[in-house]
Amino acid sequence: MLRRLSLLVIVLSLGACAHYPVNEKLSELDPDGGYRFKNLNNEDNTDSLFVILTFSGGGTRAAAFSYGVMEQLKATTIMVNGQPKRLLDEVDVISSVSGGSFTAAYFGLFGDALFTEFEDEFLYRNVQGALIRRVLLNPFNWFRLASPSYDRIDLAADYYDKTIYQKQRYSQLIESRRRPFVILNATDIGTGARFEFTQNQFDWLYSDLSNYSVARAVAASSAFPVLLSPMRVHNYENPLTNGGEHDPKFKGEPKWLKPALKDADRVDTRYYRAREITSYTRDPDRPYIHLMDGGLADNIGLRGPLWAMRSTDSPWSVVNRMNNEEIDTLLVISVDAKTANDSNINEKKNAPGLLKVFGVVATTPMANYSSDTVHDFHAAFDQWKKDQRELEAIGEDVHMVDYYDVHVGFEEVTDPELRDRVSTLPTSFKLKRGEVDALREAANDALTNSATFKEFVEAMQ
Amino acid sequence: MEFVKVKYYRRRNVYIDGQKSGYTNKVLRVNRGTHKFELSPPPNYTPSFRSPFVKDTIPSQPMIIEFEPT
Repeated sequence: MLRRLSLLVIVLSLGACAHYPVNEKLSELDPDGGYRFKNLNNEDNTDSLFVILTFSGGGTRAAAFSYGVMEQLKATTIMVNGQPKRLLDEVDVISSVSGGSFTAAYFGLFGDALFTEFEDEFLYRNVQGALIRRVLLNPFNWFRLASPSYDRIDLAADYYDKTIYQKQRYSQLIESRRRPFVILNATDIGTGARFEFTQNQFDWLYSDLSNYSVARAVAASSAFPVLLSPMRVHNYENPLTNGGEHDPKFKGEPKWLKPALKDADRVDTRYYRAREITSYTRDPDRPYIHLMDGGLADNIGLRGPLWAMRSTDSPWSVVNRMNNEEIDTLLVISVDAKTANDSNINEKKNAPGLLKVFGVVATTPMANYSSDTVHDFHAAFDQWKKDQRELEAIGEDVHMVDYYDVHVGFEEVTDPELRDRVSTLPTSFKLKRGEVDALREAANDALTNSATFKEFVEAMQ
Repeated sequence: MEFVKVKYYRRRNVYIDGQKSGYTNKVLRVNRGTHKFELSPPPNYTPSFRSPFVKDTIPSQPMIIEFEPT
């Protein structure tokens, strides 16, 4: 009896010593190593057709909706260099936030197994219930959560790691060298900036992403405020930290950064981006970075691709690729699981309760910002087309690019009954099987009925 | 988006802020701000780089950035 009691005390004490896995420090910065777009090969994926997908947040609703789009891309055949090919195999980049990150990470790690395993491993599973049970019913976790170095987000990440992502690390994505380049986005709550799980971003923390758990990145990307705690990552002393002076040993600093910081034109977003980036290397008071749901900075996953499409500064700049005449066709599909506004607030005389108000405060700014991002994105596409026509009209030797910009949202679902059904689904990690299947069907409907998508598929025959 | 044309007597790769980004004598896209323009090796051109602040351009009136052979 005493022996059993002692064993129990030891086990519980071990729980109280729980610590989150720490991101590793780099031994040397290698601008050519790690998980970067340029390190993924394009043997089976042409550069002439460049395909970007973005997956929004919205819990399992978003994961299932983006999964439905992936199913349709798998079923769509196009002709590339005279050979039939699945459109899915031409996807170059997936940028995702929150719920959408579950689908993006799974496809990045396991490829086509997405279509045989993901439904049971995540979509149909009551993930929310499993997490609650782990917190409430497992005494070992009570002690773990009592540790100042282990929090609810770490518990969630452990669960995702074991049950969904098979303990895979970023090294798996690096070694496969396979596109798409999966960008899981979180939010740095110290600055409010978008934080992506790529080596380009981890360079600024002087940290090595390769041994980092993909499940932890997904957990950070989907750490909804209050319900889940922020995820901690360590920001190591960087060769640039020494007074902000450039160290010649530091090979990784992009050349656009210094001029951007010195530009007098400080209203420009380029200056603020440079400030965000260098806050990691030049601010000695930021040894820890706290990350939350990517939706706080960008709930549609479009900000990273927008930077790549508007700037030569991005590590995977689409502008540079267009200047290099590598791209003939650019297809961007933004998958947006945004729901309809809760209009019944206005039907009641009584003011909404605290929980309802919290829901509005937590989600409305994200939704408004997402709408602005989508608008900016459409505007950018229109401007590129216009600029191209103008160059052609004045007789410039211009490399012509065909642009296709497809928005897949619930508004685009043509079946009204289906649209109404999916538009009211909650943001949670627990949906009924029938609801998940309705979302898949809705994604299929919205994508295949998109006039732009039809035009693209026809052009690629 | 801004527009530049890097002029040189023959076709060479252009590097913008260290990244390969198009060819000489063609209109290139670049974002607003200060950028470092160079040509691909060998370094037989002058000046060795130019760093203008690119702004207020349109496709038909790109900023002209000239290099000469040494």
